[in-house]
Amino acid sequence: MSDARGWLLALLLLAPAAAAQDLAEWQQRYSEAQRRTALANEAFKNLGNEKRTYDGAVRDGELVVSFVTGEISARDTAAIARGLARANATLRARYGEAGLALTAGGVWTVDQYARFDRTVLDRVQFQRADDWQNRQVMRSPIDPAEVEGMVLARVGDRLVATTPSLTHYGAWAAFQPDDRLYAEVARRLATSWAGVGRRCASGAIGACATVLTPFDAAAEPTRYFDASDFRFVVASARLPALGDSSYFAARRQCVDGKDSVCAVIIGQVPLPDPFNSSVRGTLLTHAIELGGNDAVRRAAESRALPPLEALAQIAGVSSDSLLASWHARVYDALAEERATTDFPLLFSSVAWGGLFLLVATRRRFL
Amino acid sequence: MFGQILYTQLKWSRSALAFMSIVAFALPAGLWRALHGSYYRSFSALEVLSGFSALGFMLAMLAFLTGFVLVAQAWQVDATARHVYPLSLPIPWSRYVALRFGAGAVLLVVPAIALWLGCLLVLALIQLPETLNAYPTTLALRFLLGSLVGYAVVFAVQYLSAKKAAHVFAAALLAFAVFAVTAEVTGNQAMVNRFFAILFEWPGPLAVFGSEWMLIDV
Repeated sequence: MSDARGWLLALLLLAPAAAAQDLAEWQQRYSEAQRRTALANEAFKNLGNEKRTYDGAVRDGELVVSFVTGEISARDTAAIARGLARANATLRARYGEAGLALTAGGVWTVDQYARFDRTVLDRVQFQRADDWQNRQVMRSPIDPAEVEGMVLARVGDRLVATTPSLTHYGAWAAFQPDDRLYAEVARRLATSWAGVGRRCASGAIGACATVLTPFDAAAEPTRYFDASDFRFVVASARLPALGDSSYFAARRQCVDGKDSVCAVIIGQVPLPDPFNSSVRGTLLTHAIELGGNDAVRRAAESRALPPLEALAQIAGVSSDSLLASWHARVYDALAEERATTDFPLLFSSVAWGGLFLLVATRRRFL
Repeated sequence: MFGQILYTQLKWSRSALAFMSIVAFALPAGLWRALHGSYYRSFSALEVLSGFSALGFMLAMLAFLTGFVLVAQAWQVDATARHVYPLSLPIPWSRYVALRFGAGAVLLVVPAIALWLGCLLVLALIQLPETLNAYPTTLALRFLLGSLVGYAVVFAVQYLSAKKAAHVFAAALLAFAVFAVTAEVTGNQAMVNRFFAILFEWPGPLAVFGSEWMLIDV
């Protein structure tokens, strides 16, 4: 086809589109689009207000997952049932009746998970009845292990909710210890912007106690931060309202590296918590690991104790032993993570290299 | 015989090998200099880690490229002479291929050693916070393994498909693109993730590229 013919064909194809730019037609289409938008908005609003009737349920002991019949496949409901049964069996085997008691009130609803950018409905969303913000999306077909993990996370939350001294400890992993989480804590301590974290990483158990007790925003800055850390604290703090020009001048000097100025104005900025509840939560996880069968029962007896003492009681050891054991656990997890990658990687890479060589020599070339 | 093959391999690819080795040697110190501007003040642990955060990715790319270049250069020289050299040798083709593979694999040690020395150099220049450790030997070993795997993959494709190697690579990339787009459109992104997991997670063939390449870590 010549170039001229090609251009002619292209123009012919574009002709209907050009005709659509007629003003009257365009206005009509615009009005139609507005009407459809209004209808869609109305439908969306009604969708939000619609009361869904969860007429189906999977139960195991105290645990209940409700769903709308026909929305969740039979395969997924069977997987949910297996997950709930596994969670109950795990809790009974590890912590006895005290562990099972923590499942009380464990109610979820499960819906299909729809998003506008997805064309296929292949996920479901669990919503906890006692915490509307707590939602978990799972891929369908559902893996029972994921359901079990969801239940154990809720059981951890319940333990903390019923033990006031532990409310600052992230509990989602309390009943499902994970070496990756411990290794991550080791990394966070070593790279912490707070001196107390770095000292804990170096093995100072007293510093670890500070890291792992609930954060006190009213404490002296030196409880958490070294003088060399003040610059980062000041630089990351929210700026005060306009008008405090002397603070702004001092802040500029501090950020530029004058540590003596930082030491003066550190008292004027709110202290940030250098660690989060998940880091502290690993101490709870470890205490439950150490405590074994009696951990949950002892947790119920430690409600009036200060945090570290309560955790020590759960673990069944002294506070110092618990902290030292936690430190060892964290760094063992990191060492284990390294060991499991280095040597297998060496052997697998050499093996793959040999396999590719073998393949390359198979061809009788030339 | 192996000595002769090694000699030809070295002769044909010495320029590229020298270039790769210089890049591997200079990369750690150069990257630090580019990001932090100075070697001589003390840095926090986070600053040190962020200074080297891109190093692993760049080294992984360089490792694969090193393997690729060593295969491509040797093949190119052989192909230009219409493979007269291997045909003139009193050994079967499969043995020649094995010797050629071995010669290239031995030379991969050179940029790995250059990298190791470059790592030692930058570690001598900067002051490490006491909570961090340096792993120059592990990183150099990972680089060696990465270049070996990259070399082996490219070598297998080149010596199996001969003149059509470029077409095979292009077809593989095209097939992957079609697969990824189809999976995305049909809502099966998990298949793409699984495919990457098979390739890049242990014991997959490219697992070494999926692991962490850290000069400095906790």
